[in-house]
Formats: sequence, structure tokens, C-alpha cells
Amino acid sequence: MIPAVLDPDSVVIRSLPECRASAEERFNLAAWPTRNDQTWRFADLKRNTVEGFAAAASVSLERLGPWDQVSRLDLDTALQLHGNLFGPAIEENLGSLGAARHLAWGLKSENFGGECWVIGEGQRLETPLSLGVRASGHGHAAWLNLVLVKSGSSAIIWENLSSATGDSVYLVNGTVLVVEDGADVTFVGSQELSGTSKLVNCLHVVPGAEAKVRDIRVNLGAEWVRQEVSASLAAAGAKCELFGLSLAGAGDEIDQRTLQAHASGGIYSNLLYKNALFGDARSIFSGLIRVDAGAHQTDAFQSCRNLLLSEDAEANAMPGLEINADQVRCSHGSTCSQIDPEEVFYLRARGIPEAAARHLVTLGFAHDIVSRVGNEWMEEQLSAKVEARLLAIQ
Amino acid sequence: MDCLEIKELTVAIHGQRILDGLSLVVPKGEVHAIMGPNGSGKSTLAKVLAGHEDYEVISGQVLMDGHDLLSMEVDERSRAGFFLAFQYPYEIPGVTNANFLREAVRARLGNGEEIDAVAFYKRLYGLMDELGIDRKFTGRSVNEGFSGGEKKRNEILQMAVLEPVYAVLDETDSGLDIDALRVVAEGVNRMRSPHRGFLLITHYQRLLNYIEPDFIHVLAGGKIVRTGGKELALELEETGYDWIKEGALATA
Repeated sequence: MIPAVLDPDSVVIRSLPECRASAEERFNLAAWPTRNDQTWRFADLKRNTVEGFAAAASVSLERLGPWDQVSRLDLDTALQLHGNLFGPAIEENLGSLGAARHLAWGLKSENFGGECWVIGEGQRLETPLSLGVRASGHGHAAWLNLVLVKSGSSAIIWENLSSATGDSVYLVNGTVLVVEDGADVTFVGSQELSGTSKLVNCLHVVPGAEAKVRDIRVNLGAEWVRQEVSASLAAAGAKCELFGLSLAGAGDEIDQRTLQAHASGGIYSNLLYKNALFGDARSIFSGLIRVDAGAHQTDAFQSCRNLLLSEDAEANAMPGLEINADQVRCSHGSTCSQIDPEEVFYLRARGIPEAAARHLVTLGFAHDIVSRVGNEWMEEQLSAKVEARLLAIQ
Repeated sequence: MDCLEIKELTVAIHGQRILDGLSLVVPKGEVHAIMGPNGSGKSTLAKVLAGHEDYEVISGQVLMDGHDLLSMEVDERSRAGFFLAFQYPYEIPGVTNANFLREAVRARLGNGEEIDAVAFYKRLYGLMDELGIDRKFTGRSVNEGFSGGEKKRNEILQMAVLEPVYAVLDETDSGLDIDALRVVAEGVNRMRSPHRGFLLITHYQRLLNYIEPDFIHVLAGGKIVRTGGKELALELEETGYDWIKEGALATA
């Protein structure tokens, strides 16, 4: 079972050492996942091992942003000032869909870092805030990004995780995104790790009243990805959209678990994850829309679409609904399909060779997600990365 | 040589014979129309010429300026100058009209040649204006969310951009209101040239009021049963297609 959100007052995290000590405790109490673990169903358990990654990978930060409109806090200060916001999310939500021990391992590790970004009240960021994390060498690294967007602000935030070809890293990344009342945030969490790298990437989103949050996950690398996204939907009038695009090649496994937790009524959430699978790539999607008792007038959707580009590709989808309220509008679905030969015929009938036609259709499949960013510069950057990735794995 | 020549073409789908020894010659510079009742094989002819793989050519030949069309790949036919305006154009989600057309133009360039983007857009916008297509359609996904009329206009736009030597228009008039029909017909008329041949496939005579054909052929039972001038269309409008069915039955 997924633990409920703790009462913020009961959380005692007020410093970074406390945060890491508590991670150590959780690490010691938890066990690595086993075959009987429902939260790891369909996953290849041999692949998530941290063995062989004991050394520290070096981490560098690639940042770009409107620095006069945002402020940066170190993690210790952030927890002292905003422990009630971030503490419960770190302790209870990040990793709560199965990767708790992986997260705790990262938080307690000696190669752990992170920071907190605060966007002040009423700030409208003129350019995207880009928070790139690049890991190099052979070994592990762990990173924590805490983001607080204060009321009435609007921002596009881009967290890109990368590692160089030839390097092998095991990256554990946690992100907590707290969006206060009336703020409007698009968060892009992309990764282009090298083909021998592994990634555990957990995001927890907390939208405030009348806040609009749009998260876009983009997986363009790593041989193994465990991605968890949870949204605490408790504030009136919040709107939360969760998009995902994963392009996986031969030997890759993309394991995505999501939770849309509707704790009170009248909140809209929509999830759309799209995977394009080449070679013998595997995808696993397990998503739950949970509507608590009394959360009437919930409007929640969830859909996972897999495009299989080879006979050997495999998609596993486990969409789920748990509804304990009346008068809700909830739906879920998953599809698994190949490129429509009629679409390819149409493109070829205009002179486009077959391989280029298939490439174009696949790009179109991906573009649907990229185009949700709503910022031309970022969409161009992401489109270029998507195109390069498709050419590399097809 | 300078013609699209269909010789004794027999075609089946799922083992069922649809075209049965159809012969037809469309010379450059002429507009031919094929009319016929539903199920006579009109759309089959269009799909076979474009190279759709569901259709099996049992016998016969199609020569485009003397080249064997049926031995070419689908995309090769297009690059060689063949064009089909689809009766039901497909939607390609996420692929913008501009990208689609640019890819199609690029496929016609030689090795190392690159598209002149400025000239391409200038020409594209000019053609869109002529066809009354809003310029913002360049950024929209191919045919996605387009009305029936918008899809048909988009087919004519593609034809105008690609400048084929032979164009087959499959029921391009169906689903169009009178204004859209006029725009589409004007688009086709502007492209009439001594260097281009057209084959219009239509169920109704209405389209032929706007695009005046040189010849009209009546297709029934998988072959051409009658050929005449434009007055044949008016006759068909009067009499309908029942006489063909009776006639075909009588000779069977």
C-alpha cells in the first residue's frame, strides 16, 4: 500500500543532517525489491542493483535562467525555512511508489547534493529556469531539487539530467515541486543519460488552490529508468497535467509508476505518457488515480500509449482507478500499437521514402508531447534532442 | 509516349476481382473524367495507380510516359510525377503540414542539395493564399481536426506544391459545399497545362461544371463501358446509372 501523506506538523525535519539521518533509517528498514513486490511488477529486478556503482561520479551543474527573478537556497537553509513543505514530501512521497530504498540510498550517500529554488510571489519568469545536472565518470550520484513557486507566479523550469557517452552512472534524482495558490508552472524533467547509465527519478508535485501545474517527463537515454511521479491533489481548483515521452532502444527498460492522489473534490488531473519502443525495449507503466472519500467532482484522466517499432518490443501497462467518492469523472486507458501502414502509405504517396515516412510518423508521435511545453526555444531544443535520439536508436 | 496509359488492367482485392481489363489513355494536356456508380471500381483504380499494397494486379500494364508505373515503389511513383488526391486523406498527428511538404520536396532533391527555406515558404504561402487556406495551417498537424473541405483543399495544395505530371483526383468533390468546390476547381484549372494530364474520378456531374473535361469515361463492372465528350455527363445526370447495370446484365 502507498502511505498517506503525513500531517506536516508531525514531521521533524528541520535540517539537512536530520534529513539524511532519517534517510539512513529508512534505508536500513527497507529491503531491495523482490519478485513478490507489487510495486515492482514486470520489472527486471536484476537491473536496478546499485552494485558496481559504489564509487562517486563527479557532478557538474549546467544552469541558465533569469537570476534576478529567482533565489537559490542551500538544502540546509531550505529545510530550516520550509521544512514543513519539503520534509513530508522527501520522507513520505519521494519513492513511495516503490523506489523508497533507492531514494534513501541516494540521500544518505556521500555523493549527494542538491539545492532549493524559490520563485517569489507574483514573479513571472521571462525565460525558462534551466537546472541541468551532468554526472561524469563511472559511479553513482544523487541529487535533490526542491522547488517552491510562490503564489501568483508563473514559470517554466527545465531539469535536464545528462551523462557523456562512454560514462556509466547510477543517478538517483529526487524533485519536489511545491506550487502555491494561483501559480502556473510548466516543469520539464528530461534525461539524456548515456546508454550504459541507470536512473531512479522521483518527482512529487503539490499544487495549491487554483494553481496550474504541467509536468513533462522526457526520457531519451539510460539503459534502465525507474521513474515515479506523484501528485498530492488537495487544494481547491488545482489543475495538474502529467505528460511523458520515452524513446527506448534495444536493451532499454523504462519503468514508470504514477499516482494522482485526489484528496479533495473539484480538482482536475490528466496524465498522458507516450513511449516509442525500438529493438527489444520494454516499457512498464503502472498508474493509479486515487479519489479519496468526499473528493466529489473530481475530474481525472490517465492514458499510456505505446508505439511498438519492432516485433521484439514489449509494453506492459497497468492503469488503475481507486474511487471512493461519488459524482466523479474518471477514466483510464492504455494502447499499444504499431505505425499505421495507411499513414506511411499517405506519406510515401507524396514521394517520401519509406524509412523517412516511418521516421516522420514517429517524430509526430513524440512531438505531441514536446509541443505541450509552450516555449518555442525549449521546444526547439527538445525536438532536436528527440530527433537525434530517434536517429540513434531506430 | 506522352501519356498515362492503362492497358487491360485486372485487379483484385482479397481475391475479389474489381477491375477487369480496364484500358484508358490520358495524354498530357488533357483532362479526363471517370464516372460510374458506387462499387464500379473507381477508387480501386486510384489506389492501384498510387501503389497501395492491398490491391493485387493480376494482369495488365500501366505506362507513365513509357515507364512501367506498376513496377515502381509508392514513393518512386510520386517522385516520377504521379499524384493521387485522396478521397479520404489521412491524418498524421504531430507532423505539421509545413514539415510534411518540406520532406516531400526534399525527397525530390539530388544528393547534397538543400531546400531554400525562404523560397519554399514564399511559394507555399502564395499557393495557400490562392487556395484560401489560412497560413496558420502550416503549423498544424497534417489533416488533424480539418473539416472535409479543408482536407480536400489540402490535397490540392500538395498537388500545387509538388507539380505532378499526371494527377488523379479521387472524388475530390465529395463532401464539399459549393464555395469550397469552386476554390478546389479553380486550383485544378490553374494547373491545367500542355505538360500535365488529369484524371478526375467522380460520382456526380457537379464537379464537371467547374472543371471542364476533354473526355468522360463511364466505368462499370471494372471496365470502361462508354466514352464521350462532356455532354455524356449531362446525359448521366438525366438517366442515372441504372441503364449501365441493366446493359451490363444483358450482355453478361
